[in-house]
Amino acid sequence: MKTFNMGGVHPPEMKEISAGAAIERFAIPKIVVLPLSQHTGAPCDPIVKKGDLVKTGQLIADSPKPISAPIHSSITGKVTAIEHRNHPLGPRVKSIVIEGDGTDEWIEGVNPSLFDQDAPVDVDFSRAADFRRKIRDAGIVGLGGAAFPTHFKLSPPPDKKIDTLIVNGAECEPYLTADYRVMLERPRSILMGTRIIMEILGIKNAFIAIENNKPDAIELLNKLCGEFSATDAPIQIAVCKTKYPEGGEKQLINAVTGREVPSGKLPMEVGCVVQNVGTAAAIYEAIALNKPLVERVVTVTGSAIGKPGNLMVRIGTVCRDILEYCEYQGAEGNAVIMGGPMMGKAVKYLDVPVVKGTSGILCVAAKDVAILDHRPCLHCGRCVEVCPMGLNPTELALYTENREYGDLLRMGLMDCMECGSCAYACPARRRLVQWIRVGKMEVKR
Amino acid sequence: MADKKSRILLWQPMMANAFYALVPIVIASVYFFGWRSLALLVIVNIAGFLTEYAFCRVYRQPVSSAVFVTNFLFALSLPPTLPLWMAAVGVIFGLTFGKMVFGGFGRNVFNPALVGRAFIYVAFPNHTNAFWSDPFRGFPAGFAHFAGDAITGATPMTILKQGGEIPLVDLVAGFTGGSLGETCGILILLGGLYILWKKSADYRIVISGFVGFLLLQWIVWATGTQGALAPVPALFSGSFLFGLFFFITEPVSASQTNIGKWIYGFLFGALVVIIRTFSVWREGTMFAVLLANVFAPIMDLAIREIQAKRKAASR
Repeated sequence: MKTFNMGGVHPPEMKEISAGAAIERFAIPKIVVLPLSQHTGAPCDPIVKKGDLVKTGQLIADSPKPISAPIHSSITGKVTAIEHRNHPLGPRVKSIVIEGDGTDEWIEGVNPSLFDQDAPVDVDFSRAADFRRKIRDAGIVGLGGAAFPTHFKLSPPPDKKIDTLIVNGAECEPYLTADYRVMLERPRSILMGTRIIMEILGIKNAFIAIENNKPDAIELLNKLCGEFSATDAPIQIAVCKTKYPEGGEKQLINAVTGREVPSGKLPMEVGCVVQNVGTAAAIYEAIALNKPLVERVVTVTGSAIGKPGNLMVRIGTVCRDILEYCEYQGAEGNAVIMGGPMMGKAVKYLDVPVVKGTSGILCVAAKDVAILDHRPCLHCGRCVEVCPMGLNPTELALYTENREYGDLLRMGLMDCMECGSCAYACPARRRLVQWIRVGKMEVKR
Repeated sequence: MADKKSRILLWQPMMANAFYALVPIVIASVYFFGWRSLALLVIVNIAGFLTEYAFCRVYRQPVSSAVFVTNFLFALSLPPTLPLWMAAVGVIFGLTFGKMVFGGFGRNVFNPALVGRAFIYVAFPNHTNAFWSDPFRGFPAGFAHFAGDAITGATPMTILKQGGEIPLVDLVAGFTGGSLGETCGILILLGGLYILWKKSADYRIVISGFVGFLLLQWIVWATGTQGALAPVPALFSGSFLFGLFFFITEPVSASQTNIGKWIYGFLFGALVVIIRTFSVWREGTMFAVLLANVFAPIMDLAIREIQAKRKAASR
């Protein structure tokens, strides 16, 4: 079994809460809020104005910058405002607000009745030259959480030789089951998407990496693999050990290929490209069905949720609407987290929208929320032991706390991917990853 | 739920494990040496708590429950015949100059219990070095007595060094003279494995400590160095095991990095052998721990520098 070479922790998985729930289509919302920055990179500029009527799937914002992804309307209706709204990942962001008219009228060339099927039409590989542009125009970004524009990841500079594609189905975050459900219900779309990426990059080697806590997904994809592989370019399943953060990009590359991405470099440096399984499925839909990225699967789970599940949600749907549907028992002291418990961010306001990178909404009842007093560091080294990047978290945190920013970079501050393993492992409950985040912000300033 | 907040005491879960591991050893010390061991323990705990409380009051901070672990370890490292007031002096000195002056819990460079132990070792050499008592045997043994008879100079280290023989069973089970907690090898092993399992002690330090000790002990023994013991009796006599599991693994004063821990443990094991064999003292654990403590921070620093350089080179 494959795994990465350094550190890692085993938090309780908690996936059983929502793992059994099939993907369910959430009703078309009456209102959507679409932030102009939902991805890593340059924010978009709106190309509609207040009062415009838009159809589902219509382009409403774009940017000429290379690292960016266009945004499409996710419902049919009228643009009612373009203003700053709360964003799930931090400060308020300029957003386009659309009020729906109750219908769901798609743009031309899209047949929404095909969306609920798994790979209903074949891909025409003779038009592969168009694939990259189509992916960009569909606004596809990494759906695993970082939301990096996919077309850019698929456009390596000519001097970088890419030989391996890893499709990331590890889903190492506790609680989340969105990728798992996509693997079970849309395996053909994932495999088709994988082939499309292989075609774009011209590579002969692809792995679908899955943690061994999802045996049924492994079995299913294994069975279908041969059917979808080209004769000279096999798609293989890489079974990985269940360990957090197995699905981290650099960790997964190390686990699957044994290669090590150098500090401060991108995966293409070692000839790898990593894409999430959900992204692969979205790539298939963009190319075969002309469907822009206007919806995604979101896991709604946690002890404060009465009806946990995996919902197919339109991007921009307001968190409160989803929670209402899932019978969220709101109370003082609850924690609502966008994303998983390890890397997700707690949100204060429930009017934040689902964005392209939202993989889950975790609602923890007040009785299960631990706001622990932190204590003096014991120098026990537990954080050093679990850090998957080989850093010394307690030292990074301590330097930040004492405002000694000078040495932080040399100690590898920017290698930290904020996976939170250190804070999870710390017996003194020190807020290590939180301090490191502060350190990063201070250094950037 | 939020942790219970107390103004007087700050509970440290990681330290609590060490505490559970020590309980059987405390009971054994009563069995071997009489109720006087418990009296020592109580005095030390009271004096130790009050010392830390006096400091913490100034900063309006609660006392860390780790102080009780320090107290227990200190008490268990004392000879059974030590006058009670000397024990109190030792723990007060150790906590004041080994811990509180450095900024309290989490900041100490040396193991505070051993700072106190070293202080009374040099301040009252007669009482800490010359008088021991023979352990009780059978049942109810120490449970029926307050204290054993004081005898002069008869720890197993002395006997073995002078060419005497002690059955290995007695060494392992603890029927030998010595400090309160160091004699019963079996219970120390059990307690030690418990804190290893609970991850309160780091396995790297323990393993490399074992290796360092056995390797060097074997070398000095095989080369026929004068005064060197065979590795196995050496392992179970004196306080090496107690020091290995409970003192050198104390995280605050230990090395923090993974590689550092391997070196640190090995250094400790080797130092014990060197001090035991070549110095004027019969026992080396205490000074070996303190010396290893000295080197822990600089090892961490060196490892960090090397890693930073390597990282810079790979860029």
